[in-house]
Amino acid sequence: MNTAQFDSIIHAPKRLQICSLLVPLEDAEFQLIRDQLEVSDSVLSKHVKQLEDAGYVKQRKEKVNGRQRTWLYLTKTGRSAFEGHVAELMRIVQSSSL
Amino acid sequence: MMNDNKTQINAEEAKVALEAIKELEKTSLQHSMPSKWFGVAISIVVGVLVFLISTGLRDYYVFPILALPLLIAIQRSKMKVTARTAETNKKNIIAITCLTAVMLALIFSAIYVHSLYGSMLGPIICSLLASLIVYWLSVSERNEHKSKINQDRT
Repeated sequence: MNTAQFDSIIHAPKRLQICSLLVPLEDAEFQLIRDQLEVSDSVLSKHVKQLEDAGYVKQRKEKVNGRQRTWLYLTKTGRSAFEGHVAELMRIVQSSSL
Repeated sequence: MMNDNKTQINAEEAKVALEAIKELEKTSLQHSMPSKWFGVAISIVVGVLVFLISTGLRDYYVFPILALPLLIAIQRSKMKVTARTAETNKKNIIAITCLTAVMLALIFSAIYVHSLYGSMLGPIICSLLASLIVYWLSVSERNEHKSKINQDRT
């Protein structure tokens, strides 16, 4: 069970979207995340860098048919921070409905 | 480094964020859903392999043996995501052991029938059974995936 904790790094809309897409997966291709978020490579890179700096996301590069593919995945810390953030959001919603 | 920010948001914003999270998680799971055709192809290859082993057609073993990793590699290159694998627990180990035992039992039964009666019926039935088992497993995997997509986080 994760401690409910608001995380402003994760809560920024695009970063929240990145984490939400990554959480049910082992990893996802950079291109897919970019297309889902409808942002440019540079915008996504900027957000990924912020998540990487916080230790939440890591990148893995792989060459397939001579083409470089970048895969993103949530670290254990990132997964735990995301779950904690979701728990906090749920707590806020529940406390307001009381 | 855990971010210990105490920023507060209102309930409405939290609700919107939770709904967005749920939708995106569903999108991710849809992308990681194993293809129906992959399940069909793998089950055919397994069936062919069981048939070849039980009839002793050793010259052709190489084709399904090569086809299996090839299919997995093609599927992997087509997919843009990797689904989270279930943690190795006692239940999974038992399931894999049972599947291996069933496959071996099918192969040995087919070999026995083939050597005893010289009939192709045994190998054909056993390979069909092996194919059906693998196909059923792939369908179960897809169904489990679908139920995960429809599952509510809250």
